Amino acid sequence: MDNKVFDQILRERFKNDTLPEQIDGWQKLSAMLPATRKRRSLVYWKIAASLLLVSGLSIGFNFLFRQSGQKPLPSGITGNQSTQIPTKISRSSAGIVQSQATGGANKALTTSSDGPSTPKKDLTGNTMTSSAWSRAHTPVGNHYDITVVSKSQTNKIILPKHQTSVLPGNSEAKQDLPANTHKAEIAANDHNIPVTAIDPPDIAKNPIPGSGAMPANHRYRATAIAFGGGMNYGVLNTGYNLNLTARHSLGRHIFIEGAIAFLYNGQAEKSSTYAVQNFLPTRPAPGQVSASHTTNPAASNFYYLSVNPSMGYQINKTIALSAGPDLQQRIASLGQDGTAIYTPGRDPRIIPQLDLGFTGKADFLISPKIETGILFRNGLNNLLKKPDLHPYLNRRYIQVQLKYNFLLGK
Amino acid sequence: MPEFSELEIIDGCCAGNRTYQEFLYRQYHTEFLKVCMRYAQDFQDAEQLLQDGFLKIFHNIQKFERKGSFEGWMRKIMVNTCLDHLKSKSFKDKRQLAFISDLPEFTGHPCDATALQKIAFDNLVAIIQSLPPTSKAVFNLFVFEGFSHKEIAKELNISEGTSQWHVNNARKNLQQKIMEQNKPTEESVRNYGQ
Repeated sequence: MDNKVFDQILRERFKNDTLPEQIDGWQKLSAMLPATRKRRSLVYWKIAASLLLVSGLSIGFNFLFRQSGQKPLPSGITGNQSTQIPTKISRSSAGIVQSQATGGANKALTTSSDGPSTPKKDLTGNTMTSSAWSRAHTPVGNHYDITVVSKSQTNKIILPKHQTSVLPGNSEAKQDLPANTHKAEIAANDHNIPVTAIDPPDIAKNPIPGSGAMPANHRYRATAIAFGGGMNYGVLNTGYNLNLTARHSLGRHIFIEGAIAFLYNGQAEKSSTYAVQNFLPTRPAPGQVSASHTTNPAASNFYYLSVNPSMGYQINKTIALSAGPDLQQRIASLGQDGTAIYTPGRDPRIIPQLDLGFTGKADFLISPKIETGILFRNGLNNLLKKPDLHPYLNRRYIQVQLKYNFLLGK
Repeated sequence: MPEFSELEIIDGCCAGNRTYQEFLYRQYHTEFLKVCMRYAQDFQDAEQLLQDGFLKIFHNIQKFERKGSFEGWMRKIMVNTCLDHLKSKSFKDKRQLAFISDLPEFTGHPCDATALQKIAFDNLVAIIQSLPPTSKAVFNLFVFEGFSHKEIAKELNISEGTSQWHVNNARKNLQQKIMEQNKPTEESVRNYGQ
């Protein structure tokens, strides 16, 4: 037979004939392929978007909370004294009365309805300043702006309602004001009416008894220790946690926080496509047969111990944002003794023993003792791993927390 | 499974999308397995070569310039994977290969076309797999991949004459073995006589 004919027949046999053995090596091959490439910048955008979302939720929650019960705080007045009746204020505000007004200014203090022209004294006998007195006589729900114009000229306390009462000590009364309508313009000699700024910590030290409101500057306390718990929500990372948190204020807005948490990470997923299997963490080299493995039904629970230091910023009295690294150590695994999550069509993902992550958190203070928080965590192990290792399971989740501040230190 | 255009598959594989990778694998794995079978020692060897070849394709698919044939580009990677395997030190050590000078020269009668068409495909594959590695590589490159002797010489770092000798020797070897396979057994002759 001619060589060319022989070669031609051979080629045709290989082209047309089917193989006696068919293999489906896709599963094995897919396990050897690297995970889907994700642009690193995309990950950062996701973190930023998540933080933004959490912040937005917190602010929205705060807004709803205020709508439902609390009145907004007046600017210039720290705390909720604006809602108090005079007797209570005078009792609780003893510490903030600074000096006596004399002369004409003694008569200068007045208000619309019951404005006395004599110097005001609280129950302890101390004379009240104009600002303190005015606040004390503010009806519930009204909002005051107190503006100190100039010490050498005129001290004005402007209350944003529509009537004006002029102090009798200095000039005539322009009109009689009905009750609960307030705009007092207090003009006085500066040496007669000292208007004293009230430091928030002073108010915090003097909580208003029976007011039901939180101390104005709970957050300004130097340290606070809380115990809490929460739920994690995330693909393959749903579970719960118990945590102990210590916070220390570094200033009016900045604080540091440390949390130790015990986390349960439930892998018993609703989807039957997940399986837990024993798998070598190292990718087989090209040409090397991949590690043999046993695949088990998807049911495996993992327990982690977490240390989460963070630094935060106190936006206002009720909302704080914080961020920091998160170090988690797997301390036990119940159920199947698996080390990797296997999903058909995807790389096996190693369940990390030591899991590094990043957290962003928004805290919302409900009462002095109770606060809620929303925490976002993203695992960072895959950014640090060697290229020849299989990807780690990214333990990314959103955690909703509820905490009880059982120790509020100074 | 949904149908994808070649461009979609390439883009999807470039992005590391498993769906497209799986589609590509399933579309070409039979054809490329046949390629690997010709160079391999046995089926398991061929399976491993196929995996290695696909791994290289997926790792290097971003380097495909989208000018020539995509299938041709993949096929070249697959053949190179097989040749690398044959050239690898571990393979030579395992086989304890002796190259050209130690190979026997076949002097058997050429087979006819009918014998070649009659032989079972798995037997034909087994006969090709039984060829000495270098002869197998040269014969496959010349007959199936369309390489010239000059290209083979360059690829395998041998002379053109050596390449020609390997092709001829492999051909004779194959024909002899095909004839042996088709030789009627004593039992079949006895049965035929009855």
